[in-house]
Amino acid sequence: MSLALASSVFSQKAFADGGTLYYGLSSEPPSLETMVNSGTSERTVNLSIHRGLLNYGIDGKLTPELAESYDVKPGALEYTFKLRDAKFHDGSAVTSADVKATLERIIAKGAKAANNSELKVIKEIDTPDPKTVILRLSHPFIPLLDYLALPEQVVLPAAWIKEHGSDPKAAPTVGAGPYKFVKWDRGREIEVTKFQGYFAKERPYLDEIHYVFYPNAETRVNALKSGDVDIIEYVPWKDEKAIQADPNLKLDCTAGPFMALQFNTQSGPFSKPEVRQAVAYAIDRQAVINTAFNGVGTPIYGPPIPHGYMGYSEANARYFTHDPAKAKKMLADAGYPDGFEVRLLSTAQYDFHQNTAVVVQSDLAKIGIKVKLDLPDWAGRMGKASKGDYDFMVAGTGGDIIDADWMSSFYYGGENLVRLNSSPYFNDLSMNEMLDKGRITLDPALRSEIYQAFGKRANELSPIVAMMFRDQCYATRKNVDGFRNLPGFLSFLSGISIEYTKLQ
Amino acid sequence: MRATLLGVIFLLGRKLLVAVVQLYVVATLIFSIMYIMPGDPVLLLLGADSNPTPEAIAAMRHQLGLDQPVLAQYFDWLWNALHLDFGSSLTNGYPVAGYVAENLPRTLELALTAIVIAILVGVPLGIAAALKRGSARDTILTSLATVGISVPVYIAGTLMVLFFSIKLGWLPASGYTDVSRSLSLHLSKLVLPAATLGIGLAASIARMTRSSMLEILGRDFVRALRAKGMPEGQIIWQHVLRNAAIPIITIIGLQLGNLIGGTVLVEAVFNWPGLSTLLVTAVSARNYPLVQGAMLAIAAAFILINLVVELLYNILDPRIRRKRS
Amino acid sequence: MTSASIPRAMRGQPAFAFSVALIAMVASIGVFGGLLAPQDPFLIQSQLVNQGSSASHWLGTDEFGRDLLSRLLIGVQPTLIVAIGATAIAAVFGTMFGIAGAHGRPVTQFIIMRCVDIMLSFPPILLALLAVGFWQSGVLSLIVVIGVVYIPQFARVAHSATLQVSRMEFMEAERAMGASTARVIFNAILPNILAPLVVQATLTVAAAILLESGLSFLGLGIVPPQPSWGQMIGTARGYLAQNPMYVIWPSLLLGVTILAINVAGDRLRDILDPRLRQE
Repeated sequence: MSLALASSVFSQKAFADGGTLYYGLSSEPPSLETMVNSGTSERTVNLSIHRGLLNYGIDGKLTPELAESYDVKPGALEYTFKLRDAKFHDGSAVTSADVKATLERIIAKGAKAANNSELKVIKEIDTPDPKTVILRLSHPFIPLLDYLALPEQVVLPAAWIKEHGSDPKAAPTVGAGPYKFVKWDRGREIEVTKFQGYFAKERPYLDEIHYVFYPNAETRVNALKSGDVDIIEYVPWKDEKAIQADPNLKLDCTAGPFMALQFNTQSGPFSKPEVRQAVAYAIDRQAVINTAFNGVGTPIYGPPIPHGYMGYSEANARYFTHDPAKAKKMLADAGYPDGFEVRLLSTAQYDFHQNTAVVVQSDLAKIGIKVKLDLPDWAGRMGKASKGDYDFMVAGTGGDIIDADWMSSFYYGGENLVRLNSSPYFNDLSMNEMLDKGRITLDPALRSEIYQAFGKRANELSPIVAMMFRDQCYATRKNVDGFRNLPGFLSFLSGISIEYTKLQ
Repeated sequence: MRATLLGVIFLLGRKLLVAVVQLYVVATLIFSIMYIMPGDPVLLLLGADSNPTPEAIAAMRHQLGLDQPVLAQYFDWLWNALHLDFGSSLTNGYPVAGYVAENLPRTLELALTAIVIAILVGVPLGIAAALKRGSARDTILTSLATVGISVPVYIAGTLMVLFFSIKLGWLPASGYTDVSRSLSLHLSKLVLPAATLGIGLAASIARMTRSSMLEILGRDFVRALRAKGMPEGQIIWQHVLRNAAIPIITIIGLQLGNLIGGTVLVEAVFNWPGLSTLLVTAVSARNYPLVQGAMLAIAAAFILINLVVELLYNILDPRIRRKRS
Repeated sequence: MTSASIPRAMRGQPAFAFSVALIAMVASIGVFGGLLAPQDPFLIQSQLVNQGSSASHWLGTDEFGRDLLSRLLIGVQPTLIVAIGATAIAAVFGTMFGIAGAHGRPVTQFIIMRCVDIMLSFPPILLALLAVGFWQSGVLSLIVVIGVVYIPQFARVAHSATLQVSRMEFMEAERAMGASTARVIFNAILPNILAPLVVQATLTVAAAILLESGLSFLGLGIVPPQPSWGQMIGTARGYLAQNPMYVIWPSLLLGVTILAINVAGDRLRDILDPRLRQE
């Protein structure tokens, strides 16, 4: 029986080769709401359905999409976008009214939009004609275009927003992207089909894409190896070598996100910068890489600013070393010669988070810090993280944008001191000031200096101890062409390259 | 025994009433547990890596009705459930009933196929072993069954994938295809997960069959029948098997019931989009209405299976029937 | 069962004797495992991850470069504690419910068996997820979760066995003599339903070890860096291609131990079953 079935499987596959691509997502998107970032899977699907005024293109640079061109007035207080002749999937034209409605929904007070607080800088949205949008800001904000390029800011039809915009459970499935939403088979897959009216006439190439949900990493890899799917995201590190060696597969990696420790600085030993620095000296980065990431990754001995990004400096990047003796001495000097006991929050749901915690525990034991692991599921971990319910925590993330302002969400103190990505209760006025200044400084050279000084301060206070840049890999079958892993932090936005993807 | 139609209807009505009460208890338990469990759906909804403002969190909580007192939420849910409205997913508004309607049949298909495989393999093996107790055949079969029980299902499943899908390329490694899209693909994707589950279950069915057969074979009435000169085959098929069937059916019923919510490992290994994966995802996202809906579906299916098993008891064991009526 | 009956039962039963010896060995490793470990089972050696057998690491190393043999040895203890603890919970409560459900007053019978049904309808994975959500994963929550999972199965077995026993002649006699409930339960019912319960207990110990490994696979098991066999198997599944021996060692030990428990259980059942003993 199995033989008969097998032949039918193969004929099915050969038949499907015309243009149906199966894409193995690492999870089922909770929702297709665009303005909330609910993870790579959601962004990947949405980047096939939607386009923004501009987006990060496949080369990792800001690329005009629905805007044909844009112009920034000197002083950076006024941005003018000229829209191109693009259509939504329902056939209606993309107009300045749609852009206005989209942005107004995002910046509305108390909106759930991921970039609500950043984009509140938009004071006024002017639409002199259907093809022109003018944004006026309340103060200069250099990263504006970067935030507009995120998938959370894709342009939605004003008609949809009028009807469903405030319904917390509705999600926009009509966009102006290369693929049209067809259906969402709950628990299994989301299907999209080629949009004939896409503004780039020659694209997209595929007839149909099935985004199939594969939450289990090993299962996802096996599905790729056996040809059930053509592309997978979040390739487990331990499988990189085997995929590279497989003649039927291709691997595409970038050193993107980083693994770091966040500290609750409210009280106790971790409220002292010297103790946090001691931790930075105690961690064997190479051990983290070798064990939790199967030997693949780049150690970080300073702030987690990737090489080539604004604010990177050799001196800052080599601030720390692996030096347990020095760490132990620093602890003693800080008043903890016999160490202390702390709770490390991580999660059992993802191997690399848990394994990183195990290595940290073992390294800190060597300098006398007894670490108790707290490993709830991801939801429990998120809940605790957002309440600051931990002594320190394993974080594994990257900057949202490539503009240097990505650091704000990790280091800025201010009024809201307990947040997901920053160390609870850490609030250094000089660092806040530098971040504020960085956002409004127009001169790139001056800006770069500000962020280098910021990096130095970040090392001295070490509210976050970065350990390593991890590889973020996609793998495809050999016959897939044109799919690209975007560089650095942008890896999570690689879904956009599906526009250029072909099957041979 | 007056098995009138009225009596049957009365009996069924009583059973259904009990079932409804059971479901109510399950729902209430789940509701209370989920609400005191740490973790917050709103934070997950607001995004993986963003830093939501307190206003946004409060607004979202209000929109979803999560700022209501727990008791109010509970009675709301109950009232709607009484009208067969089980609410909608917190994350995307898709009706819970729709989720269950899509996932339950897939789980049932996988579980029933596995059970059929398990019965077809397990019962004959168990009988064969029991009839030659202590022989080499018995030892080999018993050991095989034990090995079958002691291999974790995800290891067995992974080995199957590595061998049949990746090495030989005979069968797809994972996933699910709608019958409407392709029947052959649909079936070929069912083979490996069902076989993986079935073989594990077959082992314990074989063991239960064997021990239950041995138990009956040791009874006085079997000796009496033998003394009367009844042919051994007739004794086995007409008397021993019939009596041994009750514990066997018990274990099959138990297994089937467990499978409805317990195929999570196989579903993970083969990416089978079933009910227990739905449940796990829903708990992970603290998607309360979905957890409740999925759990109610599992409990309902479970209770239904129990009813069927009980009916089978009645048919197979006249003494129980007599005692109860 | 008298203490003398086990040695007697071993005579002429090499498989049984071997199984008992093996179980005794595993149990003593469970007690003394930490002392037997040739190396520090928690020592991370990042240069030696996923190595095969060598002179310094007889069974190789895991993904942290830790000595597999040492981890296997100290992994016995939590495995056994979880399996035995869970089985004990399941056996005690399950048997109680089962007997009460078959022997109690009709109302009691009804309520108890419906409660058992309700417990049974909770999938193990849900119980585990909930337990971990509340208390953290760890030995204690595993014992409780796995114990609760198997209570209904014990209850069902005890229930149907008690029903069968209740129909036998000697029960009529006990009842006719006006024996107290406790007397009936301990003298008449328990000894006669012990056989299926012992079989169920062996199945449960084995199943508990497996369930623990399944939960570990889903990230709900013993808290690392403490190993258990199940957790090692669950982790090793991800390294099947790279380090096949990693999965084979704990699986082999797990399989052999379960085999031994089952063989011993089968034989015990024969010894304990009064009807079989008469033969």
